[in-house]
Amino acid sequence: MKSLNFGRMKVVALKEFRQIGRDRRSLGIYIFLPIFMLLMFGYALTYDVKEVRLGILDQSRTADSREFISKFTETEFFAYGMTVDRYGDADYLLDKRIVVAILVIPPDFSRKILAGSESQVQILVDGSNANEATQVQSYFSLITSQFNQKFRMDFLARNGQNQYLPMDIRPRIWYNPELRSSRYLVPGLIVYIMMLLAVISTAVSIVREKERRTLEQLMISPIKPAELILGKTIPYLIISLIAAYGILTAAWFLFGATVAGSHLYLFLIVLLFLIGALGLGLLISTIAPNQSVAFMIAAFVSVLPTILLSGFIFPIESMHPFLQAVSLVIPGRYFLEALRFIIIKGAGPEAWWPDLVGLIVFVTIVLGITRTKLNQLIR
Amino acid sequence: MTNGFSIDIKNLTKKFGAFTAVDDVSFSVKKGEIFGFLGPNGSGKSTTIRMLCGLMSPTSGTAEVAGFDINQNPEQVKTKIGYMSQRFSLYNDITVSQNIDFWGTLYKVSASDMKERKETLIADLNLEDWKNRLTQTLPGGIKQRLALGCAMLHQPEIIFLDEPTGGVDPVSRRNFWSVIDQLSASGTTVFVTTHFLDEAEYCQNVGMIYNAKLIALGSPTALRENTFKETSIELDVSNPMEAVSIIPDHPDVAESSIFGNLVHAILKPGISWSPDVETSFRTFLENRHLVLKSAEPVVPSLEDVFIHLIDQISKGKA
Repeated sequence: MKSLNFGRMKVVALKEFRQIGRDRRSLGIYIFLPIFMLLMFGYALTYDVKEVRLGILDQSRTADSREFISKFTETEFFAYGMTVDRYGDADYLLDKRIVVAILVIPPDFSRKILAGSESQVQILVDGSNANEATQVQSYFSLITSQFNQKFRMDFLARNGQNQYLPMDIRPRIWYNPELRSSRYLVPGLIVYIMMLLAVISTAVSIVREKERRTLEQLMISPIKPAELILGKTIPYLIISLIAAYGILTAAWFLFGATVAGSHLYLFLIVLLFLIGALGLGLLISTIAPNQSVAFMIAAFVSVLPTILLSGFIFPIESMHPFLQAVSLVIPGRYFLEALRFIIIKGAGPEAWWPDLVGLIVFVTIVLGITRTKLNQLIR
Repeated sequence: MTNGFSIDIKNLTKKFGAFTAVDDVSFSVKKGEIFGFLGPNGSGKSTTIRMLCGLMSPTSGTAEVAGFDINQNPEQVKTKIGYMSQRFSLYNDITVSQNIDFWGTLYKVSASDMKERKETLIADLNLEDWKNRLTQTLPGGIKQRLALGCAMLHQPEIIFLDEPTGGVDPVSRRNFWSVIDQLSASGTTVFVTTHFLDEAEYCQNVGMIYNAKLIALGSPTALRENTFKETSIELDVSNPMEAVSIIPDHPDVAESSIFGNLVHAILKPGISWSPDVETSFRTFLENRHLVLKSAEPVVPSLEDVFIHLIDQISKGKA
């Protein structure tokens, strides 16, 4: 292969940028979609359960019951919703979602615990959101057991016995200490946006040239296929990189989420994945007869599996074994896992080398098929 | 260019599986000639052009384009030719000036040449006020001229025009052909496909392709003469209805027919139109109390030629 002409490559890339700049619809996709998704996933679609409105039915009305209640309302998980007067109101309040959970303290609460016998408290939870209900339940158990512990220790102290705990649990959460979903979502969002930008826009932009017959005019000119392909894909590579770093910057600005690991590794992994994604876009453009078909195929093979099977939203470990097997051929899976290692855990290649291998296999296969397809097309 | 031909095609054949798109086509085009390549859609016109432009390799046969073999040096061929297709193939969503720069750079026109040629092109097309506007805002005729200008920026030896006047108004079509004439006069070979057979009259030579085969080749005049051996005459007579039944009695006439207010007569083979023949017609009609107002030979159009040739082919098959 003779050397490539940089001027021709540059003029194609420049033309592509001009067309993108002129096309408001795609400009909107490239700039606003990543920001919109970040805000949406960061704020609206958080999995974190916080400030659950708690209704309180305190039939005991003692200092002990108020202390027990305050253990709930002083956490950020629960917020004081309202005081419930009668047990019979519970149905209505939960039904209308005026409160999300109701804490029921029986009349004999104080008497029983002071007498050293067991008291039963109840929590009624709106189970329509299973995730929320599970979390409320576990916070409830946690707070109750803490209260039990403290109460027992005070009880022992009053009786002149040693304060003694057989086991003290001090949970310490690594990598994402605040347990913020937004931080966990950043890598997934990058994968999603990369797929969307690189695969769909590359496929559509080349098919557009086919549709408008400018591709034919280009093929007749002395431009080499490699110059044309590089000239056309480099703008999307640059835009995708800008989008990836835009997400990282915005996530840092909005949620204080930083990259824990090496920026160099991060860049290399992103670049590797992008090359594969652009190749996939090219491959689709060789098959699709028009822009709408190109869009459909691209969305179907890139974005959908990325959302469903890469582990972006649904954890791979909790999938059906069959879907877990399917996820092995989803390149987004490897990219996402590597990104999470680098961004959240700050891990080095010793942790994510299997993902790197997965990505290299993906890129090699895609570029191989694309090359064959393009050669068939040209000759 | 060893033989003075810009395009020299020998036994060019292209097969797609069992389907033969171009079947053993041979012809040549002289330098500076306007060559019309005619035929209905799907007859093999586009496939031939694509092979000549180096976009597709032939199944067998060869062609030399601007002195380069299309099989061995398709890349060299590409630098020597220009191409403009039936549908406007510039970028609509960038400006006129950006389009000119884009195509010039692809063909590696040097910066100094580029500046001069761009200015000339803009001046020729009166696009000074339009150069920074989007190309899609140009009227059809101007767009087509601009596309031609962009395809000519590298001053190719041969320009291929694939249905260049499709979808353009008649006035623009005529203007376009005068530009093609100028190109030819300045030494550029013009290879044009069209299905407007009247346009083929502008060409020095035409080739007709039908069902993948070249069925006719030559100048429009030669094609007409070779196809229609008998001369056809159009007569303006005082009483056409009466004349049409009398005229076949004239010794030179094979048959006659009414054509609006006029009478058409086909002369017997070997007899051509001459003042003597015209006098004999006038006397013949005057003897029968009819007045011959005027008479002239009918020139068959290329369309007539084409239809006649296709008829003969289908009769030959039947």
